Amino acid sequence: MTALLEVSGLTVRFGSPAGEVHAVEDVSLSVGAGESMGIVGESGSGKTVTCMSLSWLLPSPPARYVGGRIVFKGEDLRPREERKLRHVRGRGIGIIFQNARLSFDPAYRFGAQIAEVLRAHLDAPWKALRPEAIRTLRECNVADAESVLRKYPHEVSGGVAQRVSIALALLIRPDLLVADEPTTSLDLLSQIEVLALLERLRRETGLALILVSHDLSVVRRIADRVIIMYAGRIVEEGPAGEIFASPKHPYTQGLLASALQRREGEHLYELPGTPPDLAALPPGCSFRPRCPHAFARCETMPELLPVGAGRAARCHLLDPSVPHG
Amino acid sequence: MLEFDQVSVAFGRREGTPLALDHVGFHVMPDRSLGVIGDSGAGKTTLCRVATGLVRPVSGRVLLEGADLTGARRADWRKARRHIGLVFQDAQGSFNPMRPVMDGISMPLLSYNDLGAAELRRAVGAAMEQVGLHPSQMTRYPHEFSGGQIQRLAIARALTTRPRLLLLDEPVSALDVSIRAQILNLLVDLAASLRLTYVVISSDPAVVHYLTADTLVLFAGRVVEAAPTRTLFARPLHPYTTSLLALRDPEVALRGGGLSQSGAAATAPSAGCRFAGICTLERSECQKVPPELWPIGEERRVRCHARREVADQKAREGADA
Amino acid sequence: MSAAGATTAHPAVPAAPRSATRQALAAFLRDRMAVIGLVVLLLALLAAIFAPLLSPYDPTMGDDDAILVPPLSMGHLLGTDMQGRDLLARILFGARLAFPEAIIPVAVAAAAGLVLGLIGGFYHRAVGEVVMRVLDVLFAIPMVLLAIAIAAALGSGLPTVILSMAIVITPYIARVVATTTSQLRSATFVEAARVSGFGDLRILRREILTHVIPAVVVYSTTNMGAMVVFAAGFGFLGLGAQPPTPDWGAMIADGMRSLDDAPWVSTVPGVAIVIIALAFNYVGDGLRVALDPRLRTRL
Repeated sequence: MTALLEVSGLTVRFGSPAGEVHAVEDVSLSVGAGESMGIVGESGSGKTVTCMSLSWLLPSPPARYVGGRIVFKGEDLRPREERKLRHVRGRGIGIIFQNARLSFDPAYRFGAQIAEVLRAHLDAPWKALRPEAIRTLRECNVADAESVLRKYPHEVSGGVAQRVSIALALLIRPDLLVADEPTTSLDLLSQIEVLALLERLRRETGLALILVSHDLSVVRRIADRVIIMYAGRIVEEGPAGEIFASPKHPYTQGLLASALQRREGEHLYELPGTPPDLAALPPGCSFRPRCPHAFARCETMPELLPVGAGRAARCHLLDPSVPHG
Repeated sequence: MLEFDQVSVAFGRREGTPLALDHVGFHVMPDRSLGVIGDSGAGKTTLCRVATGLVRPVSGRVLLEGADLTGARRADWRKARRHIGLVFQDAQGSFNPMRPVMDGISMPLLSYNDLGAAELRRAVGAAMEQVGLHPSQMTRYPHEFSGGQIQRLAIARALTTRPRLLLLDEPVSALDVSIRAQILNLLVDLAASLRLTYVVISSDPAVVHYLTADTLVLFAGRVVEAAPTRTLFARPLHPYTTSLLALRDPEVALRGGGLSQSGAAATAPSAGCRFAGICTLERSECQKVPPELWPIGEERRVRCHARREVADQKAREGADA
Repeated sequence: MSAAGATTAHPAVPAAPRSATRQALAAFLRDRMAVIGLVVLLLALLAAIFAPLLSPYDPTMGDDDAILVPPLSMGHLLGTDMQGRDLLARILFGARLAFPEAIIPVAVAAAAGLVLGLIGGFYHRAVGEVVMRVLDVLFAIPMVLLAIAIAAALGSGLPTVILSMAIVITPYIARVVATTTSQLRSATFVEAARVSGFGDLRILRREILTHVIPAVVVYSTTNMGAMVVFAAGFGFLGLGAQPPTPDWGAMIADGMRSLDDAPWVSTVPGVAIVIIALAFNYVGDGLRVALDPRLRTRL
């Protein structure tokens, strides 16, 4: 099966008064039709920049696309070909953002904004599209869809806004949906519904999904494959079940150990230190200052090497050609 | 140490506004930390505000160390606050950005003690060391610290008056996952070394599971379940609790008894239980009669018709035996 | 206790950082334009103070032999006006009016605005409302009409100008203070102060003033530049110091008649006004960064 989306060597940097920020370094990934991929990382890992770069969305400057090739449905997407990109954005690759309410214009009602987007992509008058919009909203568990269309973004809760933004993304019928932290600021019931909705959509429509989150349990439920990012690079990737069952990279191990505990009274496993400053990365492996297993070789950046069927990790400890005591 | 007796708090001042807290009652006993989990409505933070006297309930009583402070005057509350520490949800925001953190940490000390400048600095330095920070940092400004460090500073401030009770509002939710464990371990250590009792509010059940002995589950300002923490996490009874825990822990999901995954938004008010319409355990009365908070055994309470039957049945069996 | 928490996210901690005042000073000095502005103001102030010593001529004495002499002429660096009065002398002495006209109204307005704004912003009920309404009334007063009215009562001159400007600027400063105070009332760190047992006055003094005073200082300093221009406007209209006392604004008015033949008579005071106003502005900008710890410790 040819991949729906193939990204190779994406590198994005930002200029800042503190120096050049290496937000994303050499990230490659591929998503097939109907597949779902999870991207896990904390703040500064580069996951959001990666997401936004998938359709070259970031304004450049201040972002600098130092390198990278994106092939979507067999077509090579170039950063500056606005007309082609506009076609792909929304219809090919849809994005829903973390704070859904903020991704809407506060000065216009939902109905107007949905109409505007649909008109741009589907080339049909609002009258024709409205019933379908309402139907999709209902399918996304937006209660009272008709009245929601008449409301302003600040008049509804975060959960409702998130569902509207999902509905909007779906109305354009993308092949790939990118969701950046879709459940993070939601209450429990909304989280349950949004996740259930995404799962159902995948089953029924074969939608491909990229889900970005720092919440491992959310990623675990939905993703087929998982990518773990740290300091702008991919440090581990593989099928979700396997990664959660037996993580190979020390960062993944630490993350899982400190997040999934059930013992009380004992100490949690602590990952020492803090995520690095992307403008002043230490030489060698970015995780070295915090890694309990760091050794001499770690002064050079490890390569992303296969460590099993469909799995890869960026760590000298896993490299059979490296001698370590 | 802290007791809420049927406390209700309204959102606004007018009649008929919804309640942020609806007849909430609990006890916090010394050395038994209490966790509060549930949706992220205003209820949980309001709880902290009521417990420190910043907000007055419209009904019910608030008792600290046995003393009823519900309608107390400012001066009385001021005296009482000495014995509670509060760690705010927005730790970064709880420090004045225009002043060095030393000023922020020394606030309770200035309020309750008469210390000279040198003594103050020493006390602040000691507080900082207690939470794992170097005293030389005290002249820095809040924005110069990372999330984890600011959280530690907030804890340091709360500890300066040597309270026995500490209220923690979402102590780790703003932090990166890899930093959370550091703060949680710190809290466990402090509880042991300083004999602290916590009230921990968190939208992440795992935090509560780690830090507390008893847990309260809130939904829309009401207590829907209360039980010792271990029991709650091993065998949640209320469907809302089950679903809440299942989000993080797939094993819980497999055991069933939670909320159903589809259906209309649950907040449509009905005459009966708030979850009528999306509950897998629903019975006929759930739509019409609102459930009350019924005791189950000695240690648990559940607000659910379905579970109550179980309790009654067990009680009958017990009576027969 | 793990040492993990002790390491900061920043590179190696230098020796204990300097006090707030020294940090502010250092930040200010880093802003080149602000320093230039300050130097210009200080020189101008000195020139104004020592005007009698520095000035080559008496600014009020005309010389019929030296009417409308262009600048850079022998004996008259900046030229003369239509009465033969040396412009350099008049500028120097005019500065003795310009500075008080710029500084005093703002200082008075700042003090009054601070008090009114704090009350108006902090107390939302009765007292605060009353104060805000009073401010609304002050806002509605047009400055020039007020000046004319006051001039009718007190006569034209320095006190009239100063009083009018002070009254009219007060509500602007008060509003800035009130808005800031009002927003801060519900800030988390204010809540934290309450929970720590602080009373209202302490909160106002420690938490709110630390935000408000820098804002007022910056606003005032930048406004001083505007004051110079307004005062000149009053002078132009004849409401300020009366001739023969040199007033920069009045000088511009005087020179209007000879604008075609001797443009320097109006231009020279005009340039002086611009320079001083700009200097105040740059200083204000520098203060804005220097007084906010968040802005000054950024790289």
